[in-house]
Formats: sequence, C-alpha cells, structure tokens
Amino acid sequence: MFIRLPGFALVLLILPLAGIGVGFAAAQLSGAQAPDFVLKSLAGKNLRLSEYRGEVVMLSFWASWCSDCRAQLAEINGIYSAYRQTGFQSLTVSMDRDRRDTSETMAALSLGFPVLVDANLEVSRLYDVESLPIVVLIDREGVLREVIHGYGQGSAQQYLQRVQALLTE
Amino acid sequence: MRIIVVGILLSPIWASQPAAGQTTLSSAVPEFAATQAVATPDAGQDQAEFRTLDESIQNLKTLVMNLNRDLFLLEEELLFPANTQVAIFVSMDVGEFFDLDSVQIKLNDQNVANYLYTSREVDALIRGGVQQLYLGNMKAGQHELVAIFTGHGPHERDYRRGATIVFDKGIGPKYIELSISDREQKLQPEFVVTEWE
Repeated sequence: MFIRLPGFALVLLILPLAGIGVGFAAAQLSGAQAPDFVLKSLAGKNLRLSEYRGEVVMLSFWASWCSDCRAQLAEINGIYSAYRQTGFQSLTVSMDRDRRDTSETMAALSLGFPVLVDANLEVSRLYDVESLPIVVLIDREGVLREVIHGYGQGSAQQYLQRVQALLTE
Repeated sequence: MRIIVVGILLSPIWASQPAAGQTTLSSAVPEFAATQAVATPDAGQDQAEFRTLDESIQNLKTLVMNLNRDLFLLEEELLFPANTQVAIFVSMDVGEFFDLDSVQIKLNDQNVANYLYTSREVDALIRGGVQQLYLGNMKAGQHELVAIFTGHGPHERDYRRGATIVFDKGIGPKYIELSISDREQKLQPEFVVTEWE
C-alpha cells in the first residue's frame, strides 16, 4: 500500500516530463551515487548524507498526513536498534511544510535515528519522490542500491532482508 | 583408419623435442618442434615480462592521474578564467564564542551561495581548514559582497550577523576570505572580510 501525494504537494514538486508515464523516477537513480544533500534535523543539527559513507544507510521519506508512514517508521526504528552497532544508519526525511507537524508526529513515535526536515522539498525533488512512503537503500560506497515503494504486508521482512544483505557485503 | 593411426602416432612428436637418431618421419617435424620450443617461454622470462608489464601499468596510471589533474586545472581555467575569477573562502579561528550553522553569500544583492555546516565541517574549520565556499565569474569593476553568518553565540543564543565589503575586481583573480574569530576582550565572535593580495 502506498499513498499518492495530495494535489498541492504534487504541484510543489518538479514532476517528470509528461508522457513518460507514472514511473517511479527515484528507481532510475539505482546503481548511481546517491545524490548528496544536507538538511537540518529536528534536534537542530545539520546532517550531510555523504558523511555516512562507510555505513549502510536507509533513507526514508514521509509526511505527517501519511498513515502508512508511521507504521513504516516504527518498523525501521526496530531495525535501526538491532543493527546500529553493525554499521547501519537510518535517516528519515519529513516532507511536511510545517515543522510543527513533524514534531508532533515524532513525539508520538520516539524514533532513535535523526529526523530531517525538508520543508522546501529540495531533497524530495532530488530523489524524485512521487509517492509515500518510500525507502531508499544506500550501500557503504554511497551507491543507491534499491528503492522500495509503499508499505504493507511483507514490507518489514523485505527491509530486514535488504539491510542484512547490504551489511554482509 | 590407417590415416587416423598415423595422426595419433605423430602427435607426441609434435609436442616434444625430437630425440637423437630418429627416423626420417620425424625429419620433417624438427622444424616444427624447434618452433614449438621457441614459442614456449620459460619461467624466468615470464617473470621478467610480468615485471615489465606491471611497470608499464603503473606508469600508465601515473600518466592518467597527471592528465586528470591537468584536465581539472584546465577546466577550472576555462570555466573560471583568471581575469574574471572570484573565489570566496571561509575560515575559523578558535570559534569558542560562535557555533557556526550556515553562511549565506550575496554578490551585488544576488544570492550566490548558501551552505549548511555539519559538526564535522565546523571541526575541520576550527582545526585550521579553509573552505572554498564560492567560485564564480565577475566582470571588472566595483562589486558588493554581503556575508550572513548564522549560528549560536555565547550562552547558546541564536546569532545572525552580516559582514559587507565593497571590492574592486580588476585584471586577475580575486580572492576574498570570510574569517570568523573570537574577540576575547568582548567575549563575542568577530566576522571579518578580507581581500587576499
């Protein structure tokens, strides 16, 4: 299950050229170096993706209005707790325009990993995020290896398997 | 069947050196056998060849690296020729009174750079690193640079300070340094913009 972005959010994103179809453009980045970015976290720290080179990174995009996203983040939190010591890092990017919405959601979830705020949707555009939730897996070399769309039955197991595979490479 | 038998008998002769006192059947073969002997290099020759090959590869790699470096410099020279080049650098001295968060650069009222600093990058600046924040082209004449520093000052207060300089861009590259230092007397950070001569 995945949720389409509301119309107003789509307007805010730079959409792919018309006629290409409803493709998941983020998947086209697979195999290439993950686009680098720096965002401010909810805790007030600036975090740059490239500084996590050497670790397996799970980058997730979400928004407070996305109900599936909350279940997904809770699952990712479990994986993060289990594999943090083995070189795994999780970063989640909030696409909420209002930082307060992000804070309220995060207060309920109590995540152990950094929550980044992408209020201008610059990073979301960089990764061509067209639907939520979405997870991007980046290997230790900084290469974008896989894009997983949606969250439903079996997703948790899929995340675990993919992370374990990248950690053991 | 006879032809096949002859073929099988002849094959060992082809593979090895002809022994002394062999019949005329092998007389036509020694040339071939001799050729075979020359075509098979011994172990010592192999090693020498590999060493030469390895050296060639290393030389090639060095050449490629040097070419890459030259290409980079040429590209920079092409994109940012010295007569129009303007480079802006950021440095920090100590930084006890200011925790840098971001720097924004405006040239002639146009936003040209906006950089968020991670803790690792700030640490590198404090250790003496100098960051090239902006590299661009500008025509000769007077220009105005405005640098806005955002961060945390003493007592964890939010800090936002600007520094301005009007500089003359002449012939030759222009280098400008934005320096953040601690003014001990006032227990406040100091933001200085200087032109490199």
